[in-house]
Amino acid sequence: MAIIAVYNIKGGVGKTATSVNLSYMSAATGNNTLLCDLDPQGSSSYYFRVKSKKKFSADHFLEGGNSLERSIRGTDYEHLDILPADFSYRNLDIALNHMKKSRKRLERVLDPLTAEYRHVFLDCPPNITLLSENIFYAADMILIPFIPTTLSMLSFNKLLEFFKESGIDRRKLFVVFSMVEQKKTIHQDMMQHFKGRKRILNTFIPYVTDIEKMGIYRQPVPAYRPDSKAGQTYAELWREIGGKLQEF
Amino acid sequence: MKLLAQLSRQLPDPSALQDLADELEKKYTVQDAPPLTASLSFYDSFDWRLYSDGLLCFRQGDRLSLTDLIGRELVPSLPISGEAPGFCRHLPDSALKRKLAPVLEMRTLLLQSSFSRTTRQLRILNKDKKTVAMLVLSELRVETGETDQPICSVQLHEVRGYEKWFQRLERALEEIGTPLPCTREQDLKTALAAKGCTPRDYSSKFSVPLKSDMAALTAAKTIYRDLLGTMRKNEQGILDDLDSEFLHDFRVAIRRTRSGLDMIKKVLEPKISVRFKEEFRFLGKITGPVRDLDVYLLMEEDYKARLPDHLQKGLCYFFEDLAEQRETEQEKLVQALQSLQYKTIIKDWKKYLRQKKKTEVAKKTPAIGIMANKIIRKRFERVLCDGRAIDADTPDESLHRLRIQGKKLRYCLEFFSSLYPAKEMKLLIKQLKALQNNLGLFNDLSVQQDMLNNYLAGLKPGSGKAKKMGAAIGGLLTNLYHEQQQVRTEFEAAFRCFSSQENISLYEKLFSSEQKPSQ
Repeated sequence: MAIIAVYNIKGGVGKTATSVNLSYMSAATGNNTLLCDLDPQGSSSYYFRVKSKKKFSADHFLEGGNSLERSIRGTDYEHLDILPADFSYRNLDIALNHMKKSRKRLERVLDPLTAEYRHVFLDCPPNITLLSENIFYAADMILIPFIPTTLSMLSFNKLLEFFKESGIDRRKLFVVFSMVEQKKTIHQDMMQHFKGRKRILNTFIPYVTDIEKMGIYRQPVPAYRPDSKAGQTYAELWREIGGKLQEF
Repeated sequence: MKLLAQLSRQLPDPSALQDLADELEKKYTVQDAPPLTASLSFYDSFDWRLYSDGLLCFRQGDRLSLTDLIGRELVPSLPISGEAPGFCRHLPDSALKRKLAPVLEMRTLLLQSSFSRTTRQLRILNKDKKTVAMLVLSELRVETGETDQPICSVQLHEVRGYEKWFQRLERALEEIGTPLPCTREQDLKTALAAKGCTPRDYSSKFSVPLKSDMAALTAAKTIYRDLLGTMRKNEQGILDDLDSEFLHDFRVAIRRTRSGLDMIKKVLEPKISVRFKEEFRFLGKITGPVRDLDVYLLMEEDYKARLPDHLQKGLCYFFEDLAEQRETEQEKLVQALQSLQYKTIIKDWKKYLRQKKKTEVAKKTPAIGIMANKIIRKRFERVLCDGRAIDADTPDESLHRLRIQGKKLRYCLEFFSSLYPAKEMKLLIKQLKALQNNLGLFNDLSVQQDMLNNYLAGLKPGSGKAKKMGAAIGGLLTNLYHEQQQVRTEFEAAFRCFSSQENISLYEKLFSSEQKPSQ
């Protein structure tokens, strides 16, 4: 099993779109896949038309095992399940804070899912907190959607710094350019600046209306518009990521 | 790991499927997808090795899948092109190949059944338009089936986390049609049933039900009929040269028949007995050369492993030559099996075995139960006696003769197995098999050395190719010789096991002259 966390310290960078579309591509290529919606806003769950059970709370999630498995829902797509968001995820950090060895806690929580899923995607909340730290430890790959601007650059450097300080393997880190507007000089310049670097993926996600429309269709883009530019991009991005996963 | 609930029911015809769809639309929000048609082909060896091992291999579109009988994929499916997948060794290196290889061995994958299935997916949606349960209406048509009437069924699939919806629909479906196992195995059975077949309709194992009070002639004919059936079933595979085992099973049936003719004495009319002993000897002879070459060709990987890299090239030439020889011999074999002589033998034998007129002749023969006791006892004593006479200094010849005696004992145990308690017979055969394995291996190694020696003698010296072949064969001979010595030292232990007091007592208990075989 490979755990792929989709994370950025900033919000609104296309994190949820990336999680939803890539987990769909993983499933569509025959891999049993689970998407964990860890973002309290529950956008991933919304895209899949899933509501979580009322009883489910942060404590349950961290207990793992049966109650976690009971909360998993099948999506409308073969091989793809989702662990829906719950508003009590807001309390996740607090809950984690009260537990010992909390950094490794998430790793253990996800362990029972190993037999069932080939890929587990984590759609993470923004900011660096105890939960994010847990995610960094547990994940095999941390995918960072990144709008090519100066400000994003600053936050990326901050994250690298944090990894260095915490002693987390930085080889897990991969950047995918997201919401790229090719007409904008600043986007072009930034991408040029990063081109060819090791931790940067070749495929980038353009800023297109098909992705914006996910909220209306409530479906992954490659499901409702597989031949569109966006649909093709996610297929290509998944091929590239699949190749990286095999290297691990 | 959570297993999702499924339910399957068979419906009488396509209109019943439509009625169901209409009924559902009245009660639920249903998303109806356009029907899809896909064809599915099941593959297995002629003797159903995969199915017997709990595996199903099938092709859907351009992918080859391997699942358990329920239909769960055991390894990732494999893209394939062309018609039948054929031999395992021709598949690309993959988890699927590795899983298949030890089960399939030298057998080829044959198309066992194929059908096309038209499915129509009905998704049940909740008020958020989320799919909460799925129904699949399916019409299965067997491509080689006799009727056009499809087999109709409905499957209900649970969507994880929406159990209540499943339960609601389950109750509604229970009132229609008849239950059907929701497995891949059922698909195969359904498809085969349309052709009037069942899985495992061929096995190389001998099994004929006899009764101890049956007249010996009737029993013998029953045995021979079954063996003739085996021969007939394998004929086409030999002619088409599908894999080596058609001929192998064919020859085993010939040998069993010959053994029967020898052992079940004074039962068949003397004229018949004399004639067919000769005819079956002839059949053994014409099928021998190809089988002999097959045995070596099957050893290719084993031989390669016995030699260092620099001798491999010579071995390669050797096998190329054998393959060429086999082609010639196979042509001769095909001619022989298509000859009038062969057809006459089979026709006459079949005709004789079918005759039921002479019941008074049959009645004159003793009951098979008493005869079986005698035959087995005699065969057992012979093996025991010959085996005891063997020690470290006995010439190899005696071991070869013992092997033949062992085979005869094995055949008669198998012929009459149904007359005795199954558990005990299984044990006896297992004990004997251990001894036979030792003797068989010893014999194989010695036959192989003889053949290699002859081959070596026939090589024309001088060419580089001949030198390389000579070196490779020399290396092999040394290696095989050492192994044979080792096998010989293991004989004593194998025979000690076979001739244990326990085993002897068991033979005495089951086959003593006073003992009537139990039924």
